[in-house]
Amino acid sequence: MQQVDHLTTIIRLEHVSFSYGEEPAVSDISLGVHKGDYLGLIGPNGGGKSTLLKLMLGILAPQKGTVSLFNTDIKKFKDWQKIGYVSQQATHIDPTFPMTVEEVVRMGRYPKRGLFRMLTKNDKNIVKESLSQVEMLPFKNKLIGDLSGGQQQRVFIARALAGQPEVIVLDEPTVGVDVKTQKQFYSLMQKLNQELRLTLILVSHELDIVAHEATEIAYVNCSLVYHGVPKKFLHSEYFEKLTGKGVHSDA
Amino acid sequence: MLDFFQYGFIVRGLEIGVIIGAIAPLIGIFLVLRRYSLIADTLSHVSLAGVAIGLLTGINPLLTAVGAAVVSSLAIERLRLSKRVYGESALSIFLSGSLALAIVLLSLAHGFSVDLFNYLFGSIVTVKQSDVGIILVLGIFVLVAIIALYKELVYITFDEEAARVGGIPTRTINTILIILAGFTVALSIPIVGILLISALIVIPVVTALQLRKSFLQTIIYAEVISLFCVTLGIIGSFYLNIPAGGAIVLLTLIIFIGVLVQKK
Repeated sequence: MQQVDHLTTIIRLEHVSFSYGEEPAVSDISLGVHKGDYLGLIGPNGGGKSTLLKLMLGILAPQKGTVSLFNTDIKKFKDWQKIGYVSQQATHIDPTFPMTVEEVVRMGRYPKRGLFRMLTKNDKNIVKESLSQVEMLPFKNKLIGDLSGGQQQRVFIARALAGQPEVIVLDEPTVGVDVKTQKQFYSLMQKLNQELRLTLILVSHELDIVAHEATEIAYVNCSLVYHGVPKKFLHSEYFEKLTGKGVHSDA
Repeated sequence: MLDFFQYGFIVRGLEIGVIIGAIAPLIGIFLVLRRYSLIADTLSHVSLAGVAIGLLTGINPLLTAVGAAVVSSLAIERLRLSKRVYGESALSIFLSGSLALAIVLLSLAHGFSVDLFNYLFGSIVTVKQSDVGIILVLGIFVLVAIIALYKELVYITFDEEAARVGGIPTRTINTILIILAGFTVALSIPIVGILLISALIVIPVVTALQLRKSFLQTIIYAEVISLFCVTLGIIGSFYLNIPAGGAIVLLTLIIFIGVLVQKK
């Protein structure tokens, strides 16, 4: 199993709160993500996990509290290439969009190049390598819209890998995919976390599956209800209340 | 054969036609794929207000049209980002508002003259050498800006949220795109006229999209269609004695329908 380096904090939230109007979406959340973590950020729909994700990625600014990335305050953070992001777009592609698989993955290298600068041979090799890691290299000339949902998702993961990040954040990656694709997806996540030693943050409302896959769980329902190892979560009263299932007895 | 090259207005028309034919699809691909096509129509109406200001003040109407389109494109983007009105409502406000302003200004400039007709439908006959210079300089500026920001524009068009997380300044790039659209629309006036500009920006791109190719190939096909239609439209208008703007847009439509039928 991948060793978690508790001394290296990748993301730290301290007493973070955010509201869209009167109602708070996220209230007083403190949370640390360490190098090597495979964190499942779970919670009900409308429970604030997407807001928390946006706060972590700098898309929203906290109204209270602080967010730091790689020990730098998010307002001063510039090293965005260290963070790979697989947005919900991965499951909402316009099938007519004129873009090949290779062109999509190349985007992962774009932030590393400045204006006027074309991708180098090295960039193109990294793109191919990323496609190989998700077993999508043979599809590089296909249009992204012609692929199945699971294949599209792999391409988006390859795009994140192409940026050579230290952490990959995935927003609801398994929405609308079948069970077989879901299994393949989680097996790829294990590979990324254990073989490539990437820190993973997986945002999902499918708490049952994520609690069995991730090495750490943060259950958010406006506030942070639970943060710790999945085993404890699966044995907790929260899990029983939330899923209506009896408390798990892991062998 | 090739006797049309003896006529200065045809040469000037072809010179600016090639520039406009090249930049229109380059801007068009990003507008169409981001569902911003209507902005070309709005900016063309804003350009009419700019033309009216030019006719009223005696300043070159092409320059006042460029100025009005650029200022309005910034205002539209600001209004859209403020989220106080919906994006399409912002476009609608500017479209009808600028048309109203144009009508009032033109009535102050002693009515609707032949000049106005030329601006509405395009007229290469009235293009001056100074217009060629303005279009050449600003057209090359638009071309260079798109090439410089190509990677960023592609990323934002495909997945704006991921581009933003990747550290790309999405708000700045979006503003630059809309300003470049303003330039393109205003510069296209002498060729296709205010009422037909959006067709030149949109139809070659939509035609190329039917071919289902890669992003780069789609741009190349749109460029070929656009340049072919502009060149043939101008030459054809000379021999058939028809307006160049109408001829160009009808040619783009014929190719679009042809591709659509063949790909059915």
